[in-house]
Amino acid sequence: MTNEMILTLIEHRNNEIREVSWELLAAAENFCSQFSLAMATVMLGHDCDSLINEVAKRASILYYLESEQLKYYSCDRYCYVLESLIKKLEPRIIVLPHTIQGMEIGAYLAAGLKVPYLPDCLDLAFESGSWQGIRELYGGKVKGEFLSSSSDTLIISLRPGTFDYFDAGNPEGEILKESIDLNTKKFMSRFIELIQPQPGDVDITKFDIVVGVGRGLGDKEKIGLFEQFADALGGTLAASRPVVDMGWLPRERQVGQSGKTVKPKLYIACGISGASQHLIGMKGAKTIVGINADPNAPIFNVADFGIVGDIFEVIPPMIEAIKSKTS
Amino acid sequence: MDVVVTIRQTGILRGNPILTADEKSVDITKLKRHINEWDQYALEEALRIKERKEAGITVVSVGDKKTEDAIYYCLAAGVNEGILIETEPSKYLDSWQIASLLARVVSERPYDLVFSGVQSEDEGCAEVGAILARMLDIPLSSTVIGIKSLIEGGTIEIQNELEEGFYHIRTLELPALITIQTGINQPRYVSSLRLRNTKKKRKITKVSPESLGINMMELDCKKMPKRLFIPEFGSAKLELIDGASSNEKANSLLGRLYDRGVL
Repeated sequence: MTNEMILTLIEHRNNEIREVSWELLAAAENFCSQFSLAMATVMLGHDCDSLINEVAKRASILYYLESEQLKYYSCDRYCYVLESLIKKLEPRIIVLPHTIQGMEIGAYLAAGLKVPYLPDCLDLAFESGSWQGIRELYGGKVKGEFLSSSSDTLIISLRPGTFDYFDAGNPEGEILKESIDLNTKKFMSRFIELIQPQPGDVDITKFDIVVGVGRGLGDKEKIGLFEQFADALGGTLAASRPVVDMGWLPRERQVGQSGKTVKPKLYIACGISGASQHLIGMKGAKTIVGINADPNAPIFNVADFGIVGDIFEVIPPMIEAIKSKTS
Repeated sequence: MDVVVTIRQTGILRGNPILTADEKSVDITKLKRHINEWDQYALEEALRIKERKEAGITVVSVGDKKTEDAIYYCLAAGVNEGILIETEPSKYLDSWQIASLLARVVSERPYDLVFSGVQSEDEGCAEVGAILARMLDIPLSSTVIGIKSLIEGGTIEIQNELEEGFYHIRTLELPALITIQTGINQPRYVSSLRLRNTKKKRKITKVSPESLGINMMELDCKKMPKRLFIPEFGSAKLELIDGASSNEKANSLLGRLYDRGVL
């Protein structure tokens, strides 16, 4: 028998609560009122007193599981500790962020507990005796409703950037701290180092205008055209992941989940289809332009202005027009 | 050293997606297919180990008969053995079912490392690798962007990617499963001539779920599609810029940006 509770995992890194954790709390609060469930949160770590106080201001109950071995995230230790907490609390739903850490925990934990897991969801419903998650397929070109195989315990991961954070103004929450002894258990992984972000040659987050190039570029030699475009606009050049993977631009120019988050006044996406991992990094821009040959490209779902067309035909006349206007 | 690479053949979706009649999956019978992008990097990473060390590489995939093409491609690229766990065409299998089939094959062979792609282009669940690691009871690390060292019978040291430019470095004891992130390498090109020759000379090991002792009708799944749909085009705020020529579109867009005061 499960307890009528939603347990939300708080993610933190480098001594900061990650923004997605606040989004998750907002989503979980929503689910709690929708499904008449109680709200609880869990955080794992070491020396995190200031962070847990921050969380407790937002959450009514926080289970803080503490051990030196939990100072840095590792899948095996996290899942081992979470598994025993879940067996003890028997929550109805476990909410995780669909981050790199969260997606690893979600699948590994669900496999260990043999419970259904709905990954990377945009929303959750309860329909005729099953949990139903809404998720995207094919990089956002298709959407689907997916049902869990049972109505009991569910693990769900939510897509970052989907739920708006709001301050519910909760009273100070209760912190239930527990020190966990992990020294008697043998784990098969060892943490070595957390590498900090590298500054790179240019800080793309500092520009008011950012031109993003994607897979539609097709060829490294064509980068020059978009550099000219960015220069003419007084902006900077950034890229989606495939361009960086190909080695056409350095990693520091990457916009998206694993790269930088930019919030310029104007973001012009050239030949970028708009995978969710990219959208996370740029959808805070005030004005978004999408130029793409594929009318189904998900970039048009976030754009203010769109041109369905060939970037190599659209950009050159734009450069000419800007130059003639400014000269 | 024995390395197993799990791969998935995915449909390449360009233009309008077409759903199957029951609206539970995308009809990929009319799509060109290729090896899932992340799995291409996983394959290449395994091939590079083989170039440095004495290693045997086995590729395993769950899919219909057409998935043979993907496995021949891997054989042509240099893997030693290709295994297809053949399932019915167009049948939806959830990650748990796929991992169960893979686990049955992998657990019956010697292996030091299992490589999977981080996620698939179609479902994008990012879970098969993690479930498989749990089923095999071996350590897991996801989104691996670099292998720092590999000691046979010992450990693998990897760098894995986190968000916003952070990375972790960690070691895992072997055997281990890692999921490979795009950009870790540049996958090699296999010529069509080489592929044709491989198809003539080499054989794929084909197994059915039944031959593995798995009854597909009774194999647990953890999630199932209720209904897929094509999302409406564009956001509510989207203004599509039209024009008779690219020139006209370009000027019209600039005009709108000047009007809005963002230029």
